[in-house]
Amino acid sequence: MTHAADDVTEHRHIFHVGSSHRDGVARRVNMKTMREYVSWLYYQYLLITGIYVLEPWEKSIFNAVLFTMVAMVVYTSYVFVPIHMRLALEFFSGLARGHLERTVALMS
Amino acid sequence: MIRTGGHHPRNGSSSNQKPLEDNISVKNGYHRNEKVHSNGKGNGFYRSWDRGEDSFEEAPMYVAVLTYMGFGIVTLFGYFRELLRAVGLEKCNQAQEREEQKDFVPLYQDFENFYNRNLYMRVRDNWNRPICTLPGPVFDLMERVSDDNNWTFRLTGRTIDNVINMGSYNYLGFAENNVDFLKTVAETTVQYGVGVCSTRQELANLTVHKTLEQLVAEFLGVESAMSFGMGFATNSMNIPALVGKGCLILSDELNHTSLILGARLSGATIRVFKHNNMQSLEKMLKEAVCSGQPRTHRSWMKILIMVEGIYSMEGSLIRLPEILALKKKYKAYLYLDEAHSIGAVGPTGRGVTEHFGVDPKEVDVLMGTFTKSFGAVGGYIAGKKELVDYLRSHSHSAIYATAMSPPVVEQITRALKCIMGTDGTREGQRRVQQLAENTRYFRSRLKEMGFIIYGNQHSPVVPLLLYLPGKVGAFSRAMLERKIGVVVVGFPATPITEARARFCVSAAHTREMLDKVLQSLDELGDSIRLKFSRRRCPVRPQVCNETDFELDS
Repeated sequence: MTHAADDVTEHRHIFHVGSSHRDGVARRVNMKTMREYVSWLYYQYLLITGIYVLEPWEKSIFNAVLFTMVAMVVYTSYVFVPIHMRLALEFFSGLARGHLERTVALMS
Repeated sequence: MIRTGGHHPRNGSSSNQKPLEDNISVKNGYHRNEKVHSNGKGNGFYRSWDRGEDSFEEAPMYVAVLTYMGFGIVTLFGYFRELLRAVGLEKCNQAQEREEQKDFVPLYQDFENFYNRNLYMRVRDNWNRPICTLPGPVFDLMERVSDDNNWTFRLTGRTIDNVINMGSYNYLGFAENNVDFLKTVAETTVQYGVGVCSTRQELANLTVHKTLEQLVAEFLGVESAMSFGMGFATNSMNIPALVGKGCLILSDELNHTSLILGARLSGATIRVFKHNNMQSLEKMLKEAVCSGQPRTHRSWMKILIMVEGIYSMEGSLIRLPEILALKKKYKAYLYLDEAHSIGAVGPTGRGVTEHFGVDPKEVDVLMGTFTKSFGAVGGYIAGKKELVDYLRSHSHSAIYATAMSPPVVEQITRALKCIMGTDGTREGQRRVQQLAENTRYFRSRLKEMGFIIYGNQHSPVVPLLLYLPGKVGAFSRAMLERKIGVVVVGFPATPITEARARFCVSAAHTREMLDKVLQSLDELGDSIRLKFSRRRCPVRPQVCNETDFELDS
């Protein structure tokens, strides 16, 4: 509970609400710096995935695994997406040109 | 002139009633009963449009997906930790079989123990918090820390003072230690002592018990009542006396454990109908009357419909007029458990019968507890004199259980006199009205803020839905940081996707306390993202509170 209490205290001091209108939540929660905003986003990630209840070393394991998978996805997309896009564009433009040539041949 | 099950709307009533096919199958909306009510101001005070609908708003789909995902991830980690424990890399802190028993049938491998070790233990510090004052509107908590992730706790010796209590069932604020109010209780203790050392049937039928039961019967508007020492035992020990083999019990889906235990102990056949769903109940009644008992097709000896006044996990109110109409049509009996609703609903606090303007003599068995609104312990069963006299000699609780202790009896007596007004003050009436006002205010403000609240607008039990397992622990700890004590409930007491925080509004809460709670909820709702409601209510204009503006003369 000591760990969790520190966690909550730290988050509570940061996330103090400013106004009472129902606009975007980020604006309502009065966050002064980028660092606080990132910290709040990390807190949301902890709550939503349910990692909040785990012990710190379990959190590290999960974050490491998730980060590895995300890094692999990013790398794969960096390597393969431009090539696939180019091939797809070529295929579809080839289709269109073929269609155009056939209609031109029909006309003449 | 008593008209029950009235079947056409009165002139001038703006209730949302649809034209009824027959007397009974009401799709939505309510009967408006013109009644002359012998006790309390039942008629004319609450019109049908005030009764309100129970609301069970559904959260957006992504919330359910995230809830399952959260549970899935924590369960995966649970399996990982189980692996570590099985391999021996980690010490198992929970109970384990002894070495000699390792080859026997495993004792701790079922899902319940798995859940306990891996999910409940991690957030266990939010429950069973030790309290060191009486559970009034504010109380003191002992500060408790854990060094090994909630497996063991130690008290630091400090107390957290003046925590606002939003979890105690203290609806009318009778959990108090005001010396003036408790004078009669002290006198009774001096006269009778505390222990009775016998059962009601033997030597512990004291005059205070008789007075109490007469008062309870008068309060409820029925012929006779009987009190028991424990609320749970009132249900579980008396239902077996009322029904037995060859009887049918139709019980609501969300009934309390005491009702279920009593039903099982009785040996009757139990069928469950969907929560507050009159079509489901009617279908079952039809089938029961037509087909009778399973193999022999003889008719059922008794059909007992078991329902509660307010369901404490949902905050929903029972649909009493419709159930009474169904009961009359199919010649069934009704057992109404008013544990949470007695004292808490109705214009003078007499429960759901008064709230709906229904004659309490129409309900066959009225049951209730003294633990919630009266600040004592025990329960009662009320109804016709024959029924109560039968229970006096045939109930397990009367024959074997110790009678209620005299100071407790006196506390209930003085609470009843206060509510009825017979002690000469208007304190009881003030409390009932204060509770209604607090309930209305609290619920409407929460709805405005955008939280999903379950239940009827008149019920003082307010479940606020949290859904995600991570947020349950975070919410409770954050509220305690802000010095507000709340009760959060998760699986298995609620469905797995519907974890909630349950607030119990009390008449002893002042407007300032409620405002502080609401403000904290507002802040937390934004920082933890709990405002799932998609119904947008118009923002109330700020009420001008000035009383000292100058008038142009």
